[in-house]
Order: sequence, then structure tokens, then C-alpha cells
Amino acid sequence: MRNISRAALLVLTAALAACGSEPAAEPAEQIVVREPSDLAIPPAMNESPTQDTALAEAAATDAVTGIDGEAAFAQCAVCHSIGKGEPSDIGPNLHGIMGQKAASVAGYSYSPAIEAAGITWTEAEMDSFLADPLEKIPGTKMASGGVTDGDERAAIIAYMMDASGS
Amino acid sequence: MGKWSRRAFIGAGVVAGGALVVGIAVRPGNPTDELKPLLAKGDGEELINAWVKVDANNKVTAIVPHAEMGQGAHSVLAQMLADEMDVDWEAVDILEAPAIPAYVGADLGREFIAPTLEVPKVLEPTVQGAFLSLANMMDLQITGGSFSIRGSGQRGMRTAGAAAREMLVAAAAEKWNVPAAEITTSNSILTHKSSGKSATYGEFAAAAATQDLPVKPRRKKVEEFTLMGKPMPRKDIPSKVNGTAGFGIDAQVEGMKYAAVKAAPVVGATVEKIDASKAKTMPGVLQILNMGDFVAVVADGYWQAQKALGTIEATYSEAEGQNLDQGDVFARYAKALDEVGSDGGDVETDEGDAIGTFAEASKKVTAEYKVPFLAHATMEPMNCTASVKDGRCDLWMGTQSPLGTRRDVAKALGLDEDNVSLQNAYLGGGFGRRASSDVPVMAARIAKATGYPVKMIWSREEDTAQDLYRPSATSRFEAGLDDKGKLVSWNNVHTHLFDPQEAPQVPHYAIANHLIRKVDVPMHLRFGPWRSVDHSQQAWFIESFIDEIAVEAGKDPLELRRELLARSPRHLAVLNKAAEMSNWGSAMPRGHGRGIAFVPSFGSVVAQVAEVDMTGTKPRVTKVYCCADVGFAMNPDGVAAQMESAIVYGLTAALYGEISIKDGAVQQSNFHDYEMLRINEMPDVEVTLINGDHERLGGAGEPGLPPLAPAVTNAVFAATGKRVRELPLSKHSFA
Repeated sequence: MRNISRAALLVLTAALAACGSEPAAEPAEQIVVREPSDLAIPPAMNESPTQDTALAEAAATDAVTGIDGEAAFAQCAVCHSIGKGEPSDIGPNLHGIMGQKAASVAGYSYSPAIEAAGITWTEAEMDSFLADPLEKIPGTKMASGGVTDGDERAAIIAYMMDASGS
Repeated sequence: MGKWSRRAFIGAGVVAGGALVVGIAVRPGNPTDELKPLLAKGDGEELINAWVKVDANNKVTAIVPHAEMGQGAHSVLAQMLADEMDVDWEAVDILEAPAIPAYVGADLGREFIAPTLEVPKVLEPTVQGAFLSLANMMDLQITGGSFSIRGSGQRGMRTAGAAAREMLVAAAAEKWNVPAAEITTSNSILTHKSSGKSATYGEFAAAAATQDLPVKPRRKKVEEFTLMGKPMPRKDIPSKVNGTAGFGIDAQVEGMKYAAVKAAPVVGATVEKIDASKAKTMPGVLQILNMGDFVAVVADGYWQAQKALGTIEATYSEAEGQNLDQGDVFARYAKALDEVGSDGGDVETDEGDAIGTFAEASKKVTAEYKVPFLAHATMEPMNCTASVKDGRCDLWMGTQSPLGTRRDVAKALGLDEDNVSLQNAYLGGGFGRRASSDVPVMAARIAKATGYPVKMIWSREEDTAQDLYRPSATSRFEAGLDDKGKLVSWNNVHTHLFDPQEAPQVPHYAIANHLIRKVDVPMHLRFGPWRSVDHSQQAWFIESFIDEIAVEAGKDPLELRRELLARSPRHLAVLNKAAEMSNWGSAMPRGHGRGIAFVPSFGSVVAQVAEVDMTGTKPRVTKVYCCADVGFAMNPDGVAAQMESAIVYGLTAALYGEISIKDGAVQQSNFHDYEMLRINEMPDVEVTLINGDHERLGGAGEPGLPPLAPAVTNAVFAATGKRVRELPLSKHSFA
């Protein structure tokens, strides 16, 4: 990798151009890490699924309500991973979330609201949160309108426990 | 929507350099020779005039001079042209006009708009301003001001369609040697009944292009309309449903890389120093740029750029607004308003003797209202793809102002405007945000620095914190009622006035004496137009205050408005219809309430009744009745959709919308703290349209918004007795 800083030269051009009120077109500092023609390091991709996600995939349809918890969780999976050790996404990784204190996933940047909530994710707490997240914890970043169907919420919670191997 | 090929695009630059005649359809002389190389592609395809093209296969292309941002203008403009031209609607294609200045001109704007302008005398100075801004919109090909249908459509597309039809008829008359008056047209077919001759438009396309443009083509009377006034399905819907529609963010350019950006949190501050030691080592990163007013990371992928950007530590210069908190903003307004008192400030209207009649009034009503800054929150993130090389700049994006963007980018890069091209795509929401060129200027500056094409995308956080906001404002009122309970004095002073100039005015209400003033309070934030612009603040102030006056006068809010509109039958009809739809006056359950508001704006008249349920922990709007008179609804389905979407957008703002500042920086960052209305909060909406004057069209995109907030807060008052004098509603507790 090349690392060229052309700051000195460019600062001068910027100073000359700064006489007007418009911002200068040129950068004050330009760090060229790599030209597009240079090969990039390929990002780690196509990792094989972990045993946990395999387990999660095998989670059965809820025997009582007939709602497929995994299918119901799909709306959550837009933002949340649940496999063990998977990185947090837009929302935190949910592996083992049930029974944990809120805002406890390391490395995830929570909203001040959820950090201050001081709740533990029991089934009842999770159920009321999923029913209307913004009502329960105003200021949460979880931009979901909530799951109105109680059976569907129960299936999601059961799936979250299954997928965590608990 | 058709797409401009790169070849045609470069061609446009060449044409723009020449002496292109633009006054199509209202001027003698035919501009097709100059436009032909730009628009015609392939043999057998002839240009009839600047806004329509007919090919030999009888395919008609409407060339529309406005952007499509979900409002449906492309399709309805084509519908108007197709009706006047008697073409087969199924065979109509739509192409957005190229972003070249020659395409629309000042003369065209003035000639089209001026002749039929009829305004009440009191509004004349205002309309002068409005007229200039309309002409300006045509100059700049702006999509805004609820202008497309009533301006370009009514004056441009219809005239172009009528002219094209007359030229086709003239060409057939010449060839068949029959009087033009004996030729009839329908479904893209020319027929001469007595001789039995018949031909498609396509067959005469070439010959029609050589005809002189009619000086004043005859447009259809309303009873002759076949497509206008009908709910024709929009042509852009299929591609939006199947995902093939091309938005600015979909632009793909060979060799393109991605940029993520972060500006100094306090507007006006500059980036003094950056520590990019971590970012330099991150995957995909190509360049890290301190652009002075913002930091950019260019990478192979957008997410890589955004992740690397997040690791950069920056220090910023001091800035003028850096100590300002939201409370200070309203304190500044209060100080400015205190200073001007009851008669100072910049006078906007002074009719009669508002001060004197107020002093003698039997009953006096005063109130102060406050509204916050608002962000636009377009669904498609702000973005622009730019390539700068060999003294040229090419831009790909969705913009409401293609020519203004070209001009501003050219200025920023020190290029000639002819060397900046712009390819406009669909806009994933505009609301006024995409009428400004700050985003493309940033993208062009990055692309110039890198030397290769760059697609710059703003994160939602950047969009929320660096928007060109709807200004916050404070407004104060004094009103006087005489001994008979008649409203005789109206005195208002408000901070801020941008556009339209008539937004704080109340000429529709019969009030003998009014004094309306403003004070300017400078602020470091950047402002821009926001759906319905100043009507979004002023209508809430005015219609809240009218409601308060009604309460003080012991009158029903509907009755007071009826009295004030007694001499305006068109206005009264809209108000009465909305009241009738809502069954105004009927009993409501405990904790529920009904509120009404009436606002003429952008040439249209809208009344809304909102019903609220205040029995829960927060206000719930259950129903909105809306009656709108846009003059003549060219596409009733489209107008109703615009009313509905304005109600969603307006309700979002009334319930939640608030941008606040702390230490000069915006506190909100994303949808968790700048909330949108959720689907479960959407009220039932009923819309009724009245075609009150088919000669004088009003707009549809914006007029549905201003009445919504006052209708809701007036309903909250009806339900709870609590008057809301500061928005949004989420600031208030109703428990």
C-alpha cells in the first residue's frame, strides 16, 4: 500500500481559493491509500454456517400456535443476527439474549434509552417490548412498529431461545 | 421513463451551445432542426416539437420538463399532452427533458403564465413575486411549488399537444389535398371521412415536422376532454412495483467507487485536523479526504467507506453558532419580537387600522405559537454520482433542480456550465430537499480530487444532522372583536418569511383591518424549502388562532370560518363539504374531539377535519376528512393520492417532527429520535375533490399539508380543552 499525503501543496491551493465565500473545491488534505487499479484485499466472505445457525434453522414450528418462529423472526433478522459469535448488525446480536440484562451485548452501541431501561429480558418483558417497542422504551433505536399478534410474539421468543440453544 | 443515452447527452451540450429557439407553440418558427440531433434517434423518427416526439411506428413520446419524485407529474403531464393531441394513451412513452438551459426559457415562462393571470388587487404585489418565481421555475426546470401540472402542464404540455395535432392535420391536409378542418383525429389516427382516407400519426410524422408551428393552437374545452379529468393509471407504477425503476442511487458508472461523508457537526465550522490512522488500514479504503467543510472516505464499497469514516477522529474550528441551544433560538425570536412590539418590524400588509380597532375592541384575543426546525427525511438517502475529468463533469442523480445543480457544480469546480452534464433519474422523495445542490457539489468535489467516478451516499445520520431545515419560527397575534362579536382587527408578527410571500396573509377571511409584519432572526443552520414551505408554519399559526378567536367569541369554529368566508363562494363550498363529510357537530365519545382547518395555498383550496382519540397516553388521530378544490383535477386519483400523502407527511411533523440543537449541533440522528408516522398510527382518510374552476388550476403536491396540523391540534382542544401552542405534539403530556 502506498500512503501519500499531499497536504502541504493542497493546503496552499485551498488558501488561495478561500478568498471567496464558497468552499474551496480542492481538499485540504488528501490521503491516497491505494489506486483503484491496485488489488484490494478480498474481504472474508462465505463463511460456513455455524452449528448454532444450523440449530436455529432446524427449530420447529411452535406446536401450540402453529406459527413458525423462524419465519416470524425474519422481520427481526433484517437487523439482528442470532448465531453464536455473529457480529452485531444494525441491531445487536441476539444469541442468548433471553434472561440477559438489556444493553448487555458487548461492542454494540445502544441508545441511551435502552441503556437506562434497567430491565432484564424475561419472557414477559420481551413480550411487552415486542408489542410496542417505542411505547415500552421511548427513544429506543429499534425502528419497529411492533408485533401486534401475541401468538406471533410468543413464537419469536421461543425461536430466540431455541436458536440460542437454551 | 425512457433514459438518455450518453451519446444523446453529449449531443445536448452541443445543442445548448447553439442558438436554440425555445418558444415552441407560442411563437412562429420551428425549432425542430436544432432539436432533431438531440432527440431523434434512428431513421424515420421525427421531432414534432420540443415536448413531444412521434416515430414512424406511431409511438408518441411526451418529453416532460419536470422530475418524478413520486408525485405522478410525469404521467399526468403526458396525459394532458395525449388528450390535446388525440393520441392512443397506451402508445404514449415518457421521457424527462434533458437538463439543458435552452429547453425552457424565460420568455416561454412569461408568455405562458402572464396572459390569464387574474388576482385580487390586495395580492398584486405578492403575485408579482409569485409570477417571477414561476418564471424562474421554468427557467431552471425546477420541480416544486406545486407547479408542474398547473404551470408546465396547463400552459406547456397542453399547448404542445394541441400544436402537434394541428401540424399533423396540416401535413395530412397538404398531402391529401383536402381542407384541414375536414380532418378528424382520434387514437393517433388521422381520418378524412368524405374521401375515406386514413393514416396513422406515424405516417405523417416526417411531414408534420416541416410544418410551421401554429402561433396559437386551439386547446380543448373541458367538455371535449377524453383523458384529462380521468383517473388514468400512472405510467411509472409498474416499474416501481417490479423494481426496475431507476433512482439516482441506482446509477452505475464504469470504474465507479463509493464515498461516505461527514460534515462538521456545527454548520459553519471547518475540519481542522483528521486522524485517519485506523481508517487507512481498513479494507477497501482508497482515499481519505479532508475537504475543509467535510471529511470523505472513498472505498471499493459504500459500507467499507462508511465503516472507515466512523473511525476517523476530527477536530473542528470554532464556529459562530457553536454555543447555541434550542432554548436560545426561541429566546432570540422572543427578543426580536419584543423589540418590534405591536407595530414594528417589516410590514407585509397594512390594511385599515388594526392597532386602533384593537384598542377599541370589546373583546381582545392574543396568542403566541412556536414551531420547530424540521428535516425532510427522504426515503432514498441523499446521493450523487459524479465523474470529473478532461475539463468536464458528468452527474447522475435525482434532483428537483437539474439546471440549478449544473450551474452550482460548474461554479464550484470552476467549469463552464456547458461542460457539466446531468442525467436525472427518479427521486425517492423530494419534499424540497432535492431542490438544493449542496449534495451534488460535494460529490463533484470528491470526484475531482480522486480523478475517477464516485458515488457519494449520505448516511441517514448525516441526512438528519446536516439537512437544509424547515425553519423554526415564533408567531404572535392580537385580534379584536367588536361589540357584536365580529372579528375586526388582526395583528400578526412572525419571525422568518421565505416563500410563498402570501403564506402569512389572510385575504380570504373578511377582516376589515389587518397588519401583518415579520422580523428576520439570523441563524447559523442552513434552510431550504420543505413541503408547502412557509404555509407549513403560517397555516398552523393562523388556523390555531382563528380557533382560539372562535372560542373567545363563543362561536363554533366552523361557524366563525363560515362567517369570514361568506363572500367567497368557492372557499365556502370547500369548507362546507369538509364539514358535511365529517358530520360536523354530531356527538363524539368522551375524550374524542373534532377540529377543522381551512387553507388556500398554491392556487388550491383545502379544508380538513381531523378526529382525535385522547383517551390513551398519546394523541391518536383516527380520521381525516379532506375536501380539496384544485381548480380541475387532471387526474383525480393522483390529486387524491397527493392529499393523502400530504396528510401522512403533515401528521408525522405534527406528532413527532422536531430538530433541536445543542451547542450548535443538531441532536437528532436517525429514525429513533426523528420519528416517522407508523402504519398502525395512520388515520382513515377520506378525500373529496371539487372542480371549482377549470381555467385556473391550483397545485396538488403541497396544499394538502398546511391544514393538517391545525385541524389536529384544534381537535385536541375540542377533546381536552388544552390548547397546543407549540409543536410537535410529542412535547406535550395529555395523561
